[in-house]
Amino acid sequence: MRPSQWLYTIPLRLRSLFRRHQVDQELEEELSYHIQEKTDEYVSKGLDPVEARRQAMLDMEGIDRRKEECLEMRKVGWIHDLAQDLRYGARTLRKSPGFTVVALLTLALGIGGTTALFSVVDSVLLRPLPYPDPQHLVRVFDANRERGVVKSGVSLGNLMEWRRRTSAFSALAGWYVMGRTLRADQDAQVMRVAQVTEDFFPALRVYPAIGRVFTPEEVARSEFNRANAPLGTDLVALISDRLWRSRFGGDAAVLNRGISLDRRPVRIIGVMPQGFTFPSGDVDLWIPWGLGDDPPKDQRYVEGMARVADGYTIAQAETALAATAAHLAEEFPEQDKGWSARLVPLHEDVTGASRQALWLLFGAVLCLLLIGCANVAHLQLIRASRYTRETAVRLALGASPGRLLRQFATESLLLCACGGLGGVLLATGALEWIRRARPAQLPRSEEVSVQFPVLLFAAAVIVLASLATGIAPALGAIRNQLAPSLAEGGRSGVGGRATQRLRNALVIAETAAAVLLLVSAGLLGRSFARLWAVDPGFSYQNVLVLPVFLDSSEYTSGAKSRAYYAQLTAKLAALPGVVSVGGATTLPASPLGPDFERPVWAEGTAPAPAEALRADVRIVTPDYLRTLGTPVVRGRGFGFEDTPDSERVTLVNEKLAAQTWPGEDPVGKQLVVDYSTAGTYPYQVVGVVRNVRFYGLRSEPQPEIFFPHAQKPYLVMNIALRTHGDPRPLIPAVRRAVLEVDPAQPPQSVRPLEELVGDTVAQDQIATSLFASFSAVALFLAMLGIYGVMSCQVGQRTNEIGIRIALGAQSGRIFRLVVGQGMTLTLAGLAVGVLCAAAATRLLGKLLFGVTAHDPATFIATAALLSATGLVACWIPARRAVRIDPLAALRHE
Amino acid sequence: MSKPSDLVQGTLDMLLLKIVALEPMNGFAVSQRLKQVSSDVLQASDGSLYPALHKLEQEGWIKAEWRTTENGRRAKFYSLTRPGRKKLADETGNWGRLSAAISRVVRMKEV
Repeated sequence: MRPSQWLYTIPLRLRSLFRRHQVDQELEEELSYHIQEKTDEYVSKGLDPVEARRQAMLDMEGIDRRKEECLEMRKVGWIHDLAQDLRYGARTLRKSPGFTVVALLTLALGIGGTTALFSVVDSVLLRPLPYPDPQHLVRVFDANRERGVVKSGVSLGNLMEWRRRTSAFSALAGWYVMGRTLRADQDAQVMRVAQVTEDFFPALRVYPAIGRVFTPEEVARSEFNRANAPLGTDLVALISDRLWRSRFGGDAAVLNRGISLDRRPVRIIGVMPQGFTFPSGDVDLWIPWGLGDDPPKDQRYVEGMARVADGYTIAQAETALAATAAHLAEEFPEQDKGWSARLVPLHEDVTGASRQALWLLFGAVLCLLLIGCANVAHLQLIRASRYTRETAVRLALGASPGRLLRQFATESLLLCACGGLGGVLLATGALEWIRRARPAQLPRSEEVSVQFPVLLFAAAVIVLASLATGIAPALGAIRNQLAPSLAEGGRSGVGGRATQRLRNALVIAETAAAVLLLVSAGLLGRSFARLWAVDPGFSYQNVLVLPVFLDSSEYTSGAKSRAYYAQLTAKLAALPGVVSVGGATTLPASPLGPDFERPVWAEGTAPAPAEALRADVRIVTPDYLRTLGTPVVRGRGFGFEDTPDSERVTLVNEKLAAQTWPGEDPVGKQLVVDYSTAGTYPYQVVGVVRNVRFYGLRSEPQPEIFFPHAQKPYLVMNIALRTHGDPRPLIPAVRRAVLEVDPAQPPQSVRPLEELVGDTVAQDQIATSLFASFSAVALFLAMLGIYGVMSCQVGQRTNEIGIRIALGAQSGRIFRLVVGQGMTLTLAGLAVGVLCAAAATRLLGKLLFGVTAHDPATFIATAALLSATGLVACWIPARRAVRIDPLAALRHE
Repeated sequence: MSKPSDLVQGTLDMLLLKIVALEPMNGFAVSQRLKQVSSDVLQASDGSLYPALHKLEQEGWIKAEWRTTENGRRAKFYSLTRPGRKKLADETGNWGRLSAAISRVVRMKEV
């Protein structure tokens, strides 16, 4: 159509749309005029006026028909139809509020849940990281195949060499996060600080929102000693947006503001953009890290990251890096022999752990949505069956089936759109909550938001749902061809075998889906219970954990460290309610502290370094083992006899003893510990300690050795305190006590050990509870479905049942008849569900603990539960059937 | 007498456009004029007339306004628009070519 025509067309169409009544009237008038003129003509030809008018009308062949045709020409008919359908649909929905509310709720929950979870999946798993060109960002790890090390930190020395020798990266950086005490305006607080090498920000290509990034010169002069305490003066730092707003009031004058970190003066030179939290969500400060002239190559605790250069794929870069690592291994065999480097795409590293769980949850919610739709479809079928007569009459009067279908479809679209809107609102609220609460188990939770693809997804779901719930019933209603339904004229006329089969199929599908969810929930629940039943080797109730990291510039000698911890332990033990106090460099489930391992062997044997057993090393105070409830099973624990001047002693755990001295008593024997460049030393074994599941309830115990703090006075200790009852009320008193010993040394945190252990299983907990709630809802909906079908069946067969009763059938038989039918459906659904579950539970994989994917007990329990539910659902209809009065039934139409 | 129902829809459109081009008139007058000019050979049935007129109006080739006739009744008068004028010229041209071609074929002499 040419633009010149639009000028005339558009006003006409708008008019037809909005001034429908007027247009209608004009048409009427126009055609009436024509008829009048025609009548006059006939009259002038000699016809009788009445006859003339009749003839004129005949010539027109039906005014209304003409009007329809003219209106059709105006091409806006479909909009009118839609508006009419919507109004009609809204009215119908309002007339049955019970159905509408149930349907809306079901849809809102189903669609909302699906949208929310899809949004999370999209934000966490699908969306690229919020850095420019994120597909080129990789994490760099060290690996040593001989020693079985798959993923280890890198060393500064190697980092420097790789950077110098490999051209496959445009930036190669490292970082390390530590808690440091931030002091500004008299307030001391422990913050997580990331020390980052020169290439860190260039690799990410993210720069401060205010201020500037470090200059190379600033980086070069920021060196750290072996305890990672900063040397040098005039240090600078970047702070996070969050810290800027909370601690410095969002004031732009924060630049060049002086603060102190671990008692060193530091200048703030910039504020990072909002939402930037690399490397982890709790980091609030970034300080530069200079590599120095000859950084060590064998201390592998640095986290590595790189940006692959343009023109290289990650695989190519990895090969190049491995080649360089091989060269280094030859040049520096003592530090680098056997070590090679690995690259892992950053996205994978960040999201890896939760990947499986998220997809599983998404699957579960989809199941729930399907059930919800099936239920709504079912409800629609019931309603449609009530309109069977009306539909039949309309069809008989000439309504086109297409038009009727469109009307039903519009009605269900309206229903689903409203339900969907409610669902999207629900989802938005839930996502907002996730964004604020930032559960630790969900990576990138700060990035979760409703995005366009999600809205598109929600819309698609809504449309599909409305098709699923509207078309099937509509087809059912229309297929009720005229003759049967008019003749039956049933009050609860369900009409049509096809409809009946459809409803049965829906209920079976619902039940099967419910079974699937129930089995999954059951398996996860059992796993979870098994997990908590695991003996971790220590007692985590009533214990508080507080890490205290001493400032090495103040506590310059071992004696000072010993004195501090002795004083602290004594002070804490004196608090009311405290049973015992102990300290260790690392505590089970506690993520803070120097965690390292050393090769060890029995004196007399001298295995090759590569084959030596590697033991986790822990420095502990005498009362530690007692505080944690880890028993000493042989020999003795550490005590006051172990002083700096007494013989060097060690404790080993059961696992190490079994592997080093199988079948023998290790007490009294000598264990040699290899400190690599610092040499090897023998220690007298004085006792054996019970195994502990150190890295969480799922982990296996590792070989461990213990040294007394008196002999190795580390500056970094986690203090554990056992209390008589709930440890939480003591937290403020504990904090105060620590500050009393040295006000400049606040505890990093004070938390109950039970919480920390809980954190390690939090993901399981969330998965289990979510699956449990989904399956509960699913079961309820399935039950409703069965009830609905049986109810209608009874209604339909009222006649028949009445006759049976009149002919003398016992109520028991009738009861059994109805229940039998209902149970057939239930069992069919159960069978299908069990088959699906048997195939699908494999997907739960790693989430299961101590339970196989085909655990018979769970399946049996689910079958029993579902059968019982089906029975309950049939009860009321069955009772109704029994109570049918034969006389009334015979009169029943 | 051949009825216009034999005519292709497009041809009726062209006829209507032409009649309305000469002077604005209402639907009844258009059908009268058509009968009159073609000596009763061409007649548009009332049933097909008005939908055709409305379609032409919808396409933007004719426009309408309400006027009072001599006998005091209100009627809708149609007139040609500028795009309509162009359309009429196109259709007339096409028709001319078509009819000339048909004539040539029909007048072929038997050999």
